[in-house]
Amino acid sequence: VFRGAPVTLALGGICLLLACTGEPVAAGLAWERSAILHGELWRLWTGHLVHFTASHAGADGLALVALGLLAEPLTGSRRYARILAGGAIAISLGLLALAPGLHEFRGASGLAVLSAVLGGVLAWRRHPASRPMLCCAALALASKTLWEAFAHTAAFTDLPAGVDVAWQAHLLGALLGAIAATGRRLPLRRASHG
Amino acid sequence: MKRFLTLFCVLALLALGGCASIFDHGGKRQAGSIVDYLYPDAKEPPKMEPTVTRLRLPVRVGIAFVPGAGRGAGPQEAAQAQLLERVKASFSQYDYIGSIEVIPSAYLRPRGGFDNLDQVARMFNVDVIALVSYDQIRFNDTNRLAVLYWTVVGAYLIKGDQYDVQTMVDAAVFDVRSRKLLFRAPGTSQVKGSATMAGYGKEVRGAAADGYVQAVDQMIPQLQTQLASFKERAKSDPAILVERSEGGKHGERGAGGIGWPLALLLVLLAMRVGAAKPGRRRV
Repeated sequence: VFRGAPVTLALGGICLLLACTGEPVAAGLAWERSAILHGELWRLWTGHLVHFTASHAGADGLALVALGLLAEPLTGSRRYARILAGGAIAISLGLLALAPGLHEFRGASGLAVLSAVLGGVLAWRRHPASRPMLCCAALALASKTLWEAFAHTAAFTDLPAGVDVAWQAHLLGALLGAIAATGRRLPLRRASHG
Repeated sequence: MKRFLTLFCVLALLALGGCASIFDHGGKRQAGSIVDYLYPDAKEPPKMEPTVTRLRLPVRVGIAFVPGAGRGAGPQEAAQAQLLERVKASFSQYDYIGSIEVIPSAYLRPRGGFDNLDQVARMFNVDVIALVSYDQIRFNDTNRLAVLYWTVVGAYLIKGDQYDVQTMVDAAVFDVRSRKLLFRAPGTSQVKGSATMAGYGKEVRGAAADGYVQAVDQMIPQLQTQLASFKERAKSDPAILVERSEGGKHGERGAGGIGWPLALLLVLLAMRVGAAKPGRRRV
């Protein structure tokens, strides 16, 4: 399993490492509207790798690794890396356009949701027996996103005071995951088991 | 009888001398140093990296006394809160200051460094922290009237002790993220007086408290002047970027938070689906 998901494990390790480096490094890598508009373009990617707290990093990193271990073997590591790199920049640009009030964003959950939808759709096709579980997970994810979008409060998430949940990142991640999974040029790699 | 009388006089003199000598007639110093707090183990000067300081308006400010060295250093907790509330009240009229949080000294760890400052800033949700350091020295002397303390009654009636309390406070305003000093402002005071030997402790404690109040009163207008000066400097300094928040209450800082319950659910899902056998259906 671990040899089949090097991109996932590398991303998880980077998230963990950055969570340990402290606030100055995280602040230099976070998605910041004004900094990006001033030319600090690396933040379009790195904002998805840094977090506000260790707990935030732990939950997001765990979800990203778990879903990556599901999605990466089904798509292939190179393709998965390209999808995540493209997804990261698309989510960042989407936040610039769709959330004008947002000045700073951190978190890997947008990529985790992208992986969830990508892995979920591919697993739906490949593992019919898992469909009830996939339905439940999709329902939970959709309910959480809708609640956060309309109630303006984080659901089951302990974000620090003054930080609101950016549900737009989850929505964009879900859309991008669906597009990546249903894209015609995305052949499915056969799973190594079975 | 004569020898007994001499012995009695000597013992009486020693006893009275002992009473007089238990009072400290030297000086005493209380200090809370910002350098000791922020750079506790620094042997080399901190490296300054050219970073841009970003201030989002309205800025959220925390204000705290630097923790002193040892127990009982500096003003008492209640006095600290009162002094900081005075500073807070004098800055409440500025629209570019969103909120001012008075941070109790219990939240600051002596020699805690910037790591502790980061924790406190996060805990109180502030971007900028004004750290008030202090240095108070008390000089104690006796005047000529102190000779009347030998009469015992004089120790209660005669003001033979003099004190001189010199206080310096200094507010240093730091941007927590960039760890940059934005501006600073000092305030000083000198309180002199005299007291009886019996009432000396109470008088000096009052003078010490008055010293802090007067120094803070002097510091507040200086701080306002420095703030106005910083405001002008920020317009032309490329290392300072001031942004006005447009997001209102919601959306200023956002995070993509999955949360632990959903993360664990997704882990279980990935494990179950990963372990499932592929179906017959071709994709």
